[in-house]
Amino acid sequence: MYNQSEIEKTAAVWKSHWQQAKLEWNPLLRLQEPIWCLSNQEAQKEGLTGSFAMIRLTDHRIVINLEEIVALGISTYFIEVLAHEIGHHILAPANLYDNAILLNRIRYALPGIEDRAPMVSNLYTDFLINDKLQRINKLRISEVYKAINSEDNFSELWTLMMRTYEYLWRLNRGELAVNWSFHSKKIDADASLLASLIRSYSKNWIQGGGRFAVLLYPYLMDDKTFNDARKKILILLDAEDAGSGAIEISGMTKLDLEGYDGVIDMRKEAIGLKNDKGNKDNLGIEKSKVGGSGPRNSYMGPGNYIDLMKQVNPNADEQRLINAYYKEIALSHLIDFPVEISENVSLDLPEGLETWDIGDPIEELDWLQSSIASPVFLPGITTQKRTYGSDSDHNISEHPLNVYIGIDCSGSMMNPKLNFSWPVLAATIIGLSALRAGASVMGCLSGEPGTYLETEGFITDETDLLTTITSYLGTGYAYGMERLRKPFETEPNKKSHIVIVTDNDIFSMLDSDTETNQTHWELAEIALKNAGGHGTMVLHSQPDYQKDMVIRLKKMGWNVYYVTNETELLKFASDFSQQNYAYA
Amino acid sequence: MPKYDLFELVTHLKKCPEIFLKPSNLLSRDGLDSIALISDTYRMVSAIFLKKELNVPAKINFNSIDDNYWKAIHISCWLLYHHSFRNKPALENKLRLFWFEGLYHVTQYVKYKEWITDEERAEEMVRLLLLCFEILPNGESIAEAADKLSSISSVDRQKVLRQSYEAHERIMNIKREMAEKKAREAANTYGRE
Amino acid sequence: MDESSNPQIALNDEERFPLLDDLSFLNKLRQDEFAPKFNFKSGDRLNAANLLKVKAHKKSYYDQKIFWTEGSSPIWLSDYLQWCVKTVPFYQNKNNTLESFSTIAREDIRKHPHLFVSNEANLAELLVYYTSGSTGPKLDVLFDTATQAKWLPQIESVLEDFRISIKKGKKTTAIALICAQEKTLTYASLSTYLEGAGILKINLNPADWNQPEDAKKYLEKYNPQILTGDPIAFTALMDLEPKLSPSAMISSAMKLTKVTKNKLESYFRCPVIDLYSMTECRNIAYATEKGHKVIRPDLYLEVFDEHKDIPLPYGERGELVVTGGSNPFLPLIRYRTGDFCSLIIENGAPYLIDLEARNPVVFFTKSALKINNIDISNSMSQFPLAGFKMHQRKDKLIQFVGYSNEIIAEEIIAVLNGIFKNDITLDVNIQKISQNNTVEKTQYSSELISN
Repeated sequence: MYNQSEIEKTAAVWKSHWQQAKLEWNPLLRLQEPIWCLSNQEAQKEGLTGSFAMIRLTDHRIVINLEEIVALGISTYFIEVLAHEIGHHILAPANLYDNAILLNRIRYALPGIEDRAPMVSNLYTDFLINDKLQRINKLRISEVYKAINSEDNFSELWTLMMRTYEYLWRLNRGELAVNWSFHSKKIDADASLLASLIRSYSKNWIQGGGRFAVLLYPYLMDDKTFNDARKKILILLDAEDAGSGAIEISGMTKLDLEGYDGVIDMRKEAIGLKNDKGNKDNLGIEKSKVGGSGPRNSYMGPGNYIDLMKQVNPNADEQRLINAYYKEIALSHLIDFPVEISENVSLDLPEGLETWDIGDPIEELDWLQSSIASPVFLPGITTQKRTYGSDSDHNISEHPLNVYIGIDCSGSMMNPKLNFSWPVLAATIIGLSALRAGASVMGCLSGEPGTYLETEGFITDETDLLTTITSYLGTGYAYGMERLRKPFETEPNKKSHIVIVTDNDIFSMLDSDTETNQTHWELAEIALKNAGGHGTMVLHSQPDYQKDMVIRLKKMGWNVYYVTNETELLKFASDFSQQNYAYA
Repeated sequence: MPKYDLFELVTHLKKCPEIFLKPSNLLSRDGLDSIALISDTYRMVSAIFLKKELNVPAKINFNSIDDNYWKAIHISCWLLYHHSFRNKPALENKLRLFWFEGLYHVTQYVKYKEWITDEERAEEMVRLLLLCFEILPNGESIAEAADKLSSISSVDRQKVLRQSYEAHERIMNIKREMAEKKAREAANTYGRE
Repeated sequence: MDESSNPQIALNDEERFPLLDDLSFLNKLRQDEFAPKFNFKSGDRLNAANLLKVKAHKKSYYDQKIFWTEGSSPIWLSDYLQWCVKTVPFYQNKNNTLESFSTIAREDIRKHPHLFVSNEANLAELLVYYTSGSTGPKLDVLFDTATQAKWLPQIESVLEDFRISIKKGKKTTAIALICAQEKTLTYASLSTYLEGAGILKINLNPADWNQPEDAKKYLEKYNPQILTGDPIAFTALMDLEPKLSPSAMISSAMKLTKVTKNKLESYFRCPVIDLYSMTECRNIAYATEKGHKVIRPDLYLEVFDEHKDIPLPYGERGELVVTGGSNPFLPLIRYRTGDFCSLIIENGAPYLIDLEARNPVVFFTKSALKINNIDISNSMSQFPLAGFKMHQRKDKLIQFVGYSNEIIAEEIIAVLNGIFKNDITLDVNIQKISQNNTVEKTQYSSELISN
């Protein structure tokens, strides 16, 4: 424990220099004062462990642990440390969205070791900030490193980092890289490349992330070496968890092809070899596979999306992420919100204003309200967006039919968290369109014999619906016809579409023994009648298959819609939504 | 004795006017008169303005100098226009060493534009020149100066990068092969281990 | 989890047997009415060049076995070291003398398998053998087809000591590797080196067969010349009471107790050879009255102090250290085996005295079913465990301590329950890997007495 009065004295000095530190960046900067923690316990409560400072992009805060600062003997570097932290908010990564893009690009360059991306991102943004502060603002960043570095915190990686600063700032060998035992020609050569990278990409820094990560790859590829190196510099990692607590950041599901092309080995460039794309033998470092999924193969896979977003926000809830993933891809296929406020009350009642943040879609930004709020435009601070009321408080329109969506979730289906699932996308499109139109939706996953998972009847809650349809069972062989009993054994209050997404195996299910007097065929007929007569079986099958049974279904009044490849499911879902829920 | 401030020289070098980037008239008709430029530079450094013959080693054949090399020489002439190199007859003989040996090796790895656009390459040319002139940059010891030049030496760097690139590529290839399905089917196992 | 670690079927039979035209015997083995439900395919993949390498290996080392003498090293050693220093990244910047090399251990190979690959090794020939390892985290062992097939001439040289030879040709099943595990790869194959003779890898687990009696019938029908496996598998085989007449049985991977050896020999009426081998370099020695007789002149053996990097003189007990091995993808220099013995040379042949190989530990379900620790190792290898310890108390309670930073206790419980047929009480404890990690190696122990 350090002398409490010394910590308090330091706190007073640091507080009094906050304004000055902001001046290093922008006199108009509106950033809340840091959270000053006087003890490690206080810092821990703020989520700050391991280091003496950190940033939080979610609430635009800086957290400073003054006990640690006193312990490290850097209490006189208030401007340097504060300006550095501000730099993470102003320059890089600056906001949740850019943070996520940078992380994604770095991940491309670290195939197999994507888990290192947050640290690499932190080191990279440190370079950008520190180089500006040292060279342009003439702050004593190098002195801070001298104060913190000891021979013990060196590894090959850290030597590379410190040698790079020596190159950038023309310091003598060993001024920062004090542990000479790690010095080597290899590190010198790499440091010189990194220094030129930092200089060249100081403005378009997002573009340099891939190159930076490729160069670091050999220093990170061994687990133990990486963990040791990371442990030794933990004290300096102030932005690894910058996005912690962030809710969904939109726009990240799309593949970042530009970022993919930015994965370039500078060693190879420097020795005059071209980075031929696609040439396996000639690619010194291989990128992670792009592996486009979903419509037009232009989205990243759900597994990769979850991994990325968990690096953005380590506390992110996987289910929320997977909901957001399918919703975001579904968005462009949904029916439009009703233009007028008609009796079909839905989700578009403007209810109030909220701060529009960098992570939000640009379309949601309400320019008018933002300019009323403040003449100065500061993203995430003065920007506003409208919020819309949930429809649950209103009377549901009589007109649109409800919809029951049953999805085959048997062993032949893929887990939508690991692989892109077309049936789940289709269900999301239909379900969300119906909600937009003011209808209620019942969702049911079924893999039977085995298990099923369904919403509690017809609901209007988007999250509950998405959580149900993006889950996974992987049991049995088909959608269980028995599931139609609960909603449709008797006539529900309101008519409903029935949509069942399944494959040929449904015929075995229809024929299977129910051990009761009622066959599945009979149940299918009764359910359709009670629902109001609108039912569609979407079959992943060749049109000719099981002709007799198809005729039998059609006679009952079922529509049978064939899809021979899964992308056709998308067409079905958008057509269905347009026909049944779009406003004229 | 002037102070040879490294950063001042680098700043000067980077201000190199466009005209010096033109090709040599030995390679291109409307190019820069390279021989005249070299002669001028000799005269300026030696302060003998009537000097006629060039102090060029016999083995150097101007025809064997390529475009990139000529442009590097042109750029270095601009560097030598800096006032601290004027009227230094002692340096005259060392110019040859710089142009036709020091610079020769490194031009194979550096594209001429980098001498004035890349901070580090600019520093390398300045340091190389000072080394050939046996001048220490202001404030540096012999060891420091030598280390700093060697840490930005394009020739050294090239060699090291090639080695580390190739070694890394081999590792990545092995990793890739290890992940290949064909490698994973392996071959008959005859006994337990 | 690293899916790519798992073996996958990726070739066709032509690629599996480039030199064999007639695969009828293979098809017979595969399609027999009593055949097991084979779950994998395998070949020796020997092309002409590699077959030549195997034959050359036999010629230079086994036609006439010349080892080394006390105070001298084998004649090939200095060329070998020179070649390693020149072409193997891990050994670069070393001297050409053996004395200049410090010992290396399993962990070195596990961490950087790629650094041990000679620059001269042809990557197109790379094969990966993925091992769960009974004594540590999983290890990828790299090798090539020739290295793999060299097992045969090495074993032939052992059998010669018993005046046994392997009959070649496509009408005979030369070798059957017998397993008795919950799950393992099984296949029927051929050997090019043995001129098309059959090779089987089978699992006695009834779930692998269409009818309970099939395992016995199938083996009796093809009556393999050599049976290989571990003591647990051989015991399980004996329990089936098959009528087989192998010319020899080769037991490895676990310690073969005298009781078991005698039982097996009297039932199968053939020598049961207790082979000492390891994945990293394959065959090393086999048990005799005097001690373990060393098999391979291309593998130089030394004994080192357990803790210090000091070679011990002949006759002194310490850790066995190997050099050589003829594998361009994993050339070993002073590799610590983790096994202990002393070394002597008698009549020109080295012997390992009082070799203590890794002890097998048998666990029991509550109703006394035997559980092979390899099954535990195999299934644990799918978890992110840095290591684990498993101990069975006298009351049969299984205490499991795993080291991991992930939440996997429930999955581990589920898997262990599966292996123990839901007939066991488990105490599973997953410990976080600490900062100054002293994660212990995988260890099995039991208070129950097994035979």
